[in-house]
Amino acid sequence: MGTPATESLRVFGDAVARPLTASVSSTATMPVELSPVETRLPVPDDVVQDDVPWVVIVWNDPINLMSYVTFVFQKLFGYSRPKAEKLMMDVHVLGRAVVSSGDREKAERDVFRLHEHGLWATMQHDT
Amino acid sequence: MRFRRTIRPRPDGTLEVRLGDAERALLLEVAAGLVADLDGAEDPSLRRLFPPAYADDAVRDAGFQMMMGDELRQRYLAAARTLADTARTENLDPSEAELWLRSINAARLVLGTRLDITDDAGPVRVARDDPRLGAWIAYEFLSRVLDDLVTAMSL
Repeated sequence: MGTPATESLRVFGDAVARPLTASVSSTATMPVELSPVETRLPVPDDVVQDDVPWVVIVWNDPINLMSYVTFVFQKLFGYSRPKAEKLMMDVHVLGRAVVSSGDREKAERDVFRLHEHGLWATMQHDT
Repeated sequence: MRFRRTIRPRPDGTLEVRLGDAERALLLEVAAGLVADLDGAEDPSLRRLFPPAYADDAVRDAGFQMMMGDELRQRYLAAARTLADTARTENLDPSEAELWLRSINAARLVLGTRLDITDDAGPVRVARDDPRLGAWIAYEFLSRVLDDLVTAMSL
């Protein structure tokens, strides 16, 4: 996984947040008296949500081999064989398993590496 | 009866590829087909290669796909090209083995999608005159090589 990919993801994150930032700074030109209450602007949902850990989920699919999925979990995450096999069986039997977690950047990186290996991986907030 | 293993680890860390000429020809055909598919127009049977990243956030997913989609395609292509270039080799170094692993798996995903494989059922009976017989043979062959590859690469 190269660094450039990670950087471009960060750029995307900034682009999403930008419109919100712009509307906030535009209020500074208004002739209002600043007080602590008025400066406490609403924090965009994005920022609040990004403090919550993300989880990476692998979903069951009928094509990927069980041996292959176990091997990919070991290789990408350094999991022991028993742990990787347990996660693979969770995917196989329960339909899904959380395979990693962390901040958004790490989760996106993990999702990309899983996609690169052909696994059906998504990320979402840990709820 | 177990087929003999198509891939075996060597003490020096490389892998020995034990495939016949017809099997290597099939591997080359599969690799070339995958390259053509990835280079070609949008094809719904490639959808398994490009899953969504954000299951419940279409906006963020669109951004992720915009940033990473082409990179993912390029990596599949590089792996498939290596498979095509090394289909006749008897020796795989670790980096080639990694690219075999990913490209063979990707080819299985495309073939499996075209064959409408939707459950984990075991062996499938295919009629001799089924137009998809060739795809089934390729799919089963790739499954066997992939499983042998995983076994040979496992620690």
